[in-house]
Amino acid sequence: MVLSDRPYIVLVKGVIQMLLRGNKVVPTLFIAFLGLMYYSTYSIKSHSFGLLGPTFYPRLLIGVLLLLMVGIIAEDSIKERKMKERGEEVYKGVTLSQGIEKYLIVILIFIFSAAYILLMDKLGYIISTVLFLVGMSLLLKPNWKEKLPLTVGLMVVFTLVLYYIFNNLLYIILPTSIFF
Amino acid sequence: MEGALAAFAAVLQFDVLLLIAAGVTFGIISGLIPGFTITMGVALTLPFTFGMEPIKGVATMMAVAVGGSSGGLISACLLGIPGTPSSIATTFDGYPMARKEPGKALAAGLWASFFGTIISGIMLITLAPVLSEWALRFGPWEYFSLMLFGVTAIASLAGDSLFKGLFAGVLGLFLATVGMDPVLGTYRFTFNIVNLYGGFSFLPVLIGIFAFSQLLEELLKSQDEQVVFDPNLNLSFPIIGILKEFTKQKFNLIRSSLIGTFVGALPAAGGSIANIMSYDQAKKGSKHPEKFGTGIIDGVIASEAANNSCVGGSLIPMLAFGIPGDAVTAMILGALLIHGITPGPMLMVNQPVLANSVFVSFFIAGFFMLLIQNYGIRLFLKINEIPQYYLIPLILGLCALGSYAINNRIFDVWVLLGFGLLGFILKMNKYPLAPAILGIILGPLMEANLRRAIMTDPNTALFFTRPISLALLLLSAFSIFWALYSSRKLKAREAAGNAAKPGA
Repeated sequence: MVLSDRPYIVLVKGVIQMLLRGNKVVPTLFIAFLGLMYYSTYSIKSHSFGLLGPTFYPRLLIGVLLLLMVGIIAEDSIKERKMKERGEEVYKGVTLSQGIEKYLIVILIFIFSAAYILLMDKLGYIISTVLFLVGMSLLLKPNWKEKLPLTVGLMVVFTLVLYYIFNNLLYIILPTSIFF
Repeated sequence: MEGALAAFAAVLQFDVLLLIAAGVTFGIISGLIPGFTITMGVALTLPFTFGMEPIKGVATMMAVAVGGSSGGLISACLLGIPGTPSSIATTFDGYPMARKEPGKALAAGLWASFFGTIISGIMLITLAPVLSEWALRFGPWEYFSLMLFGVTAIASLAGDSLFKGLFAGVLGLFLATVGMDPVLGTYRFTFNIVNLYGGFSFLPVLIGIFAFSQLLEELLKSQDEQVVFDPNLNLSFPIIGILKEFTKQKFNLIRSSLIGTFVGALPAAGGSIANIMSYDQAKKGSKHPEKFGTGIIDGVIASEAANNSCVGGSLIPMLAFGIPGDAVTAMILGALLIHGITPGPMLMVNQPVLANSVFVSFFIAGFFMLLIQNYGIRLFLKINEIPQYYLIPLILGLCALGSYAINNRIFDVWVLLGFGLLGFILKMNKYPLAPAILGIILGPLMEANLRRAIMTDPNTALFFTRPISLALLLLSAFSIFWALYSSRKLKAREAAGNAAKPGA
C-alpha cells in the first residue's frame, strides 16, 4: 500500500480539501480552537468566587468570539447569495494542490524557519543563522547560482555584526554551540 | 518644570542624539521601502533597545516613528508608490508634481512633515499632562470602559467587516488570558508548559503578527513591477523658496496638522486615515479643487503634515491613559512594558523625567528628520534598490533575534513563528491585525479592571451610573453603530454605482 492510499492520509486529505473549498477554512479552524479552549477551561483550578473566578473572563470571551464567528459566517453567506443573485462568480475555494502551489513559498519559509529554530539550539546562533540566511536568499533568488559568494559573504558579515552588537554592546548572550 | 529640564539634560547627550539620528535614518528607510511599514521599523528596533536605559530606548523608538512617517513621501513622490499607507494621498499630487519639479515636491513634503511634527508636538505637550491629570480620577469602572472603547473603536474602523474587526479584537483579548490570572494568580491555558506560565511575551507576538506576516504577504505579491528611479533628476530646491510657498499655505498646514493630531489621538485611527481625510478637507476647502490630483503643493502639504502630526497625536492617549493610538504606538507601549514602565496617568507623576523625555526626543527627532532626509535622499533611494531576496531573509533574521533577545529563550522564537502564522491567516482572510494587537496589549489590564471593579462593589450598574464610564460605553456603542451605518451607506453607494453603469 502506497503512503497516499493509507486510510488516515485519505481522511486528512479529505478534511483539508473540504476546508479549502469556499471561505470555510478559517471559521472552521477558529470554532474548533474555541471549542478546545472552552473544554480546557474546566481544567483551570477554580476558586469559589462566583463571577470573579479565573474562568469567568475567558469563558465570556469565548462566548463572544463564537457569536462573532456566527456573524462572520452569516455575513459571508449573505454576500455569496447576493453575488449569485447578481450573476457574479462566487469564490469556490481551491483544491489541495492549488492551495499548496499558491502558498508554496510561505510553506517553505515556515519549514526553513522551524528548522532554523531547532538548529539554533544545537549549532548555536552564528552557524544556524548563516545557514538560514543563505538558504533563504537562495530560495528567493530567481537564479540561485548567480553571485553565490557575494550572498554567502553578505550573510556571514551580517550575522557576525549582529552577534557582536548583541553580545558585546547590548550584553544579550546569544545561543552558542561547541564550535561558536 | 524640573522634570522637563532633567529630560532635556538626559536627551541632549551625545550618545542619545546619535541613537535618535540612527533611529530617524532607520525609520525613513522603513517608511520608504514599499511593503515595509513604520510598525515593522519600530518592531525591528525594539530588540536593540532592551539593553539600553529606558530614556535611550524611548528616544530611539520615537525617532523611528517620526522618521518612518516622513520616509513614505520619497517613494510616493519619486516612484508614485506610497512607501506606507500613511502616504497614499501624497502620491495624488506628489507624483505628478515630482515629474515636473522633483526638488520642490520633495521639499514641500519634507517641510510639511517637519511642521506637522512640531505642531503635533506642541499639542502633545499641552494635552497629555492635562488629560493624564484628569485620568488620575478614574476608577476601575472608567478604565474598563475606556479600554473597551479602545478595542471597539479600532475594531469598528479597521478593515471592511465589523464582525471581523471585533473578532480580531476579542481574539487578542482572549490570547492575553494565557498564563497567570491577573487577580488570583491561577494558571490558565498553560497545558503544563512552564514557558507559558508568564503568558506570551508581547514582543514576539507583536513582531509575529505584524512584521512576520507582512513579509510573507510581500512574498506572495508580484515582483515584476520594479520601478527604477532616474539618478539624473535634480532633487534640490531653495529653502527660502519653499518657505515662501508655506506662508501662502499656512492655513492648510495648520488645519492638516490639527486633523492629523486629532485622528492620531483617537484610539482607532492612524496615519493611513489621517492623510486621506486631511487631503479631502484641503480639497473641499480649496478655491481651486479641480487642480487637486494634477500636482499642486496644497495636496502634498495636506497629506504629509497630517501623517506626521498623527504620530504626536497617537502619543497623547498612550501617555495620558496608557492606551495606544495606533499600531506603532502599541509597539512602543509594549516596549515600555518590557522595560517595566507602565504608561498612563501615573507615569507623569512617578517618572516625570521619562515622560518628558518622550516630548523632548519627539521634537529633536523632527529636526533630525528634516536634516537627514534632506541630505541623504539619494542614499535612501539606493537602499530602495536592494533586492528582496536579500532584504527579506535579513529582516526575518532580525525578527528571530529580537524575539530571542527578550528573555534569552528559544521558546519565544517559536511564539514568533506561531503568531506569524496566525497573523498571515488573519491577513489572507481580511481580518484586521491592529485590533488583535490592541486586544493583546490591553487584555490583562482590562480583565484586572473589570474584576477589580466587581470586587470593589458587586453592583454592575456602576458601569452605567458613573458619568465618565457611561460616556465611554456610549462611545463604544456609537463606534459600532457608526461602522454599521457607514458600511450600509457605502454598499448603497456601490449598488447605485453598479446600477448606473451602462448595460447594468
